[in-house]
Amino acid sequence: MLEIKNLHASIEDTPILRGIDLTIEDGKVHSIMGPNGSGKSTLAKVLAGDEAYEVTEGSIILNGEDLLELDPHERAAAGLFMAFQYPVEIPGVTMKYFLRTAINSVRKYREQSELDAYEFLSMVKERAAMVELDTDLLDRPVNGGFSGGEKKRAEIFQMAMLEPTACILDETDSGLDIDALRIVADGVNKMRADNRSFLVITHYQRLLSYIVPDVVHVLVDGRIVRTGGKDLALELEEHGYAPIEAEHAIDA
Amino acid sequence: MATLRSKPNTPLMPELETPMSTMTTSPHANLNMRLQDIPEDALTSLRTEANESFQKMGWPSMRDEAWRYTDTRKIASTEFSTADPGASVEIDRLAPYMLGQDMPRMIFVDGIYQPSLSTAESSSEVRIDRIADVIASEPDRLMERLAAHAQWKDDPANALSTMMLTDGVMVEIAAGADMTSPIHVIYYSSGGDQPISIHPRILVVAGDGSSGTVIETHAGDTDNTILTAPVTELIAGDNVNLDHYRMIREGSNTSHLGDLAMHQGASSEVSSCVLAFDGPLIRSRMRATLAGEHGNAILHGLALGHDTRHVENLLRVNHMVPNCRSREEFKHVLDDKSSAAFTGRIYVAEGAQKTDAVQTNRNLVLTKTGKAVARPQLEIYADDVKCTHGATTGELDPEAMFYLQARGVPADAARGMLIQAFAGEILDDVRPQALREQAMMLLRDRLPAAEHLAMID
Repeated sequence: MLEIKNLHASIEDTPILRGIDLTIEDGKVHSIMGPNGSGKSTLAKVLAGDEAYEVTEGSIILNGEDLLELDPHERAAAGLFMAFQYPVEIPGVTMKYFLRTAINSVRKYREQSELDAYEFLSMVKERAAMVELDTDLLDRPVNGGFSGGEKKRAEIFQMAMLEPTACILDETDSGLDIDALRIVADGVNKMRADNRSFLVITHYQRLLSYIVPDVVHVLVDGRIVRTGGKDLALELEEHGYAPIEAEHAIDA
Repeated sequence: MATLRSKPNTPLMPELETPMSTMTTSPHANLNMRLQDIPEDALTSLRTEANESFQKMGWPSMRDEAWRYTDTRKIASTEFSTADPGASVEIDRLAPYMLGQDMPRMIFVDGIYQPSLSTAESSSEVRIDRIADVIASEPDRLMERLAAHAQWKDDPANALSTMMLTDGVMVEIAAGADMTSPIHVIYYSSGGDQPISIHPRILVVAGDGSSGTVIETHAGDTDNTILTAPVTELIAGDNVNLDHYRMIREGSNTSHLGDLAMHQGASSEVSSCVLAFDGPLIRSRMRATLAGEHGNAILHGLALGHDTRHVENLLRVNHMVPNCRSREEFKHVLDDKSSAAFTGRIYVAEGAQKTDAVQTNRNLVLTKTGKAVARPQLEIYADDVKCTHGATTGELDPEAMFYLQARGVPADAARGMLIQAFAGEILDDVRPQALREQAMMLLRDRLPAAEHLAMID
């Protein structure tokens, strides 16, 4: 279970998140929608532990563990996974080498045995198939020269490899055509499980036709201003964010 | 990256001047004594001339343009002697520097040849000789080769080594021949109570259409005071393929002032790669001269800076004729208070049209106290050329760091991975597998949190 309470965060003294309360039960899919600049990506980065942001108030608890006390790599080990909106290209580090280092670091932290080369490769094969990822990509540098679709599929593939309990998808639909979107969404749906929760951050309703959320929240100016079922996404699609923004505008 | 197309006869940079008047005084007195101890032979007049040059230059001060970034004051104020001719070592001590049992090797300890540890043998096509033997019995083979390309008149370290030149390795590959295995020349130094200077020398003459690989290792594991000034000359005929590597793993009080000269015939491809892993002061001067059309000169370098190490790479590529290509790629990783200086001059002679020269110097500075200087210099007298240079200095990419950490890689291991990736681009091009693997392991050992990193398959 992921519990976010009264979360405030700022970058260079500019407040971005202004008190977010959000609890995601195990097995549930929540979605955060909102206009540009509402703080959606900031929330994802703060959850993952990006040091560029300062948390000024509030708490983030995952399965009873206080994430704000943990470094980014410890949060990953504790079960958090954030799929990047813009996966970073890292020349000179192969995908395979990076993943094996990452997985074994996480497993060591979780007091699981490290995977040997054979176990690692069979797991790679199985999980890559889930997102129709060509395993030849694993001999290339991390995200190096990947197409937009390959980058996002590689993110979901890494998510499958690391077996998190809380998955944050930061605008995973951005830059994807409809076929790539369907493949990515299928991968996510295959990973849905009773002990795993999802937070799907998106600007558009489109992704939510494929990954159907249990709860939809609307973020405006760093606060959740409305919460509803999956129909809320359709309503936003129809009317846009403007009416909600007008209703919740911060007084100057 | 800057692309420059120059007008003819307009040098983009003034000719680098080397004022000789700014010498410092130093205890050179014992040099004459050391020189007198060398018996008269075919090189006596060369040594005498080199001595005169050295005495004239002395150790330069940092006001000297070519030595602006390397402080020789400590060297200048030290009286070095020649090593004990009985210097030797147990072979076990050399194990960390060897590249497998089977690679033919020539071993020197404190500059003294070790016949019992050396395994290289001549064949009818590839002659591998001690320079001492060639001086004694076939000095004509050295004529217009030895000290003919590595310039000692403008470099005190080379002048000193030329005046002390008594031994070394000569490799001569017959026209059309292929060396079946690389040869490995190891200069191991241990020194003693008194500071010593050693003067490694390698001469490679590759006949037309031949190919081969020569690897040097300069190593030491003591804190005795040592000066080493290796000079290597690679003379390639037409259609030659020659690879050269210099691995530097000196002891903690060894100053390494190296020189390398490449001279290439038509359609030859000659490469040299300098790997600077250990030693407090490592200066490498490299000069490639493309004297025949369609030649390709490749100069690579990787330096790892720790503590207060200073590394300097001073390069010059001379494009003397049209249609040649040169590639220079030097990378420096600077930790702690280490520093690196890169000076790279591309010279294109009048008429050397269609020259294609690329030079890059990339510095990864890990601390606020690490320092890097890059000085690209172009001197171009032809109008249809493509010369590009690029120099970058930066820290580890914070976005890449966060990405790796967010996937569970601890910060120090992430740092190690990114350093490995940066340096790996040079090591990937090291062709002899044993050397590449040794270099990868040395790199890995020097990274933070090596134990967290998966082994490279």
